[in-house]
Amino acid sequence: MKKAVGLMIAVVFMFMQAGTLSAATRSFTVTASVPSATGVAISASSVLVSTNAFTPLASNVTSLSFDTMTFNTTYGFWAPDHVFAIDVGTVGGAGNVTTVVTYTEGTNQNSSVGGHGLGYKGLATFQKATVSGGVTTEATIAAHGKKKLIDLTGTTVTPAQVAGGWLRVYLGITTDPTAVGMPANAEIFSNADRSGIYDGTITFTATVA
Amino acid sequence: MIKRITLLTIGLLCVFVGTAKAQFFIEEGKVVLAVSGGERVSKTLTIHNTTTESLDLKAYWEDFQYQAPYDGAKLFLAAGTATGSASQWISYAPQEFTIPAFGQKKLEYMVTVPPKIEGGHYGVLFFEKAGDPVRDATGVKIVSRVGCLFFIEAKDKKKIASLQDIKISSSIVSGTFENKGNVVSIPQITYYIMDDQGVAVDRGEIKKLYLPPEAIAPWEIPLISGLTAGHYTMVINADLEDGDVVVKEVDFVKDAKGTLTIGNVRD
Repeated sequence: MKKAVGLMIAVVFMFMQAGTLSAATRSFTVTASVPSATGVAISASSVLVSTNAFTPLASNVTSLSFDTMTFNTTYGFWAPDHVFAIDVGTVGGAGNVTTVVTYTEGTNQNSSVGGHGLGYKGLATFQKATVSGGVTTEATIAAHGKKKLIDLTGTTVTPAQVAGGWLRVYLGITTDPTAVGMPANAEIFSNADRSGIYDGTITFTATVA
Repeated sequence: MIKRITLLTIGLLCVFVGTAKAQFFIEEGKVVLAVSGGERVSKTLTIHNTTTESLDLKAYWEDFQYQAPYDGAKLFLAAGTATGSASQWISYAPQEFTIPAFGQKKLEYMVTVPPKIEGGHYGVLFFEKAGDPVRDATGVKIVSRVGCLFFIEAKDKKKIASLQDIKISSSIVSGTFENKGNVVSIPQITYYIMDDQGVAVDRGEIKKLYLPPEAIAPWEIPLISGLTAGHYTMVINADLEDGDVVVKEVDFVKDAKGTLTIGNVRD
């Protein structure tokens, strides 16, 4: 009898322990969510047209000068010996950031005679840059191509357009408005333009889509 | 916990950016608020300077609207100019500040909702790093800015949408998505195709759409090559978030000559 009771107590005890053990086993749902951080990094390089050599500019440089422009006597235009390559890096966690590019005309020496300024004589070429094995390769972003600065009225570059790479925008001065791929009504700086300074502002805006 | 998430974010950002490091970034790119009339919401935004120099930034509000082709493209408008602008509801400080090298700054904002709110109201709080003017030369000034989108929507918002005008042509199923609600719709649209045995032969996702109220955007689903002759059903699922979905079933037939014909279209 005592043995039977002892066995019963032992069995009950074991069931209690099993209950305790299963109560000690719990599942926890662990979650973490990365915030939709948004950021932008702009870096510029001066590119010598004759050699395509890049010279990175200091990270705090935000004014880009096309001076000194020289006159091409064969074709009758003024142009610098360099263009600028603007690399736009956007950060948004899962790469979900759109970049909007807008140009605002500034000083235009031709305004008093109804002429155009840097907006018509300056060009922006939109490229997707990628790097592999230390070599940077570029491809024109077909949706944007080459535009007059004055036509940058909210040009939107979507994440899909630069997937796997980053946006590179070349800024230059028109030398041949009739060349293939040139936007309509692009103009050169010629001796018909009033002398003096021509400038403008380009704004790069990054937001999540 | 928040510090760990921030460090994780910074780490992930360095991975994603590649060769270009962020100069400044905000921890939240989008603030979504579901509010009632008369409600007041106070929160903070954190901005980080990841450079070796101090950074002077200014904060300001603009309205925004999604615009065609509704792929995320936005139109930014001066504060107070968009229909239903929320620019008068929001206050924030500071408006100009300096962040030391590798430092961060918290900006406090408050949204004071008027007694009655209907639908959605959208804007963006920009943080701008001013560029230096071009001095005595022909050239351009570069300005960079980052925006935090604000979606301020009534708790009793109406989310209604439809997949419509569905047709098939040249191995492409196409149609339109219409936002019939009173808030912005950002549907996640997926699909799968089943044969007459109920076996899935293809599945995929349509590129994301961003539609303001009353907007209609086209979509396309190219059919996989090599689809054999037979009867198929395509199920298109548009997830409107918060448990709202729009589903369409499209029957189609491919005959022995490869001609595709659409059949029943049902909800």
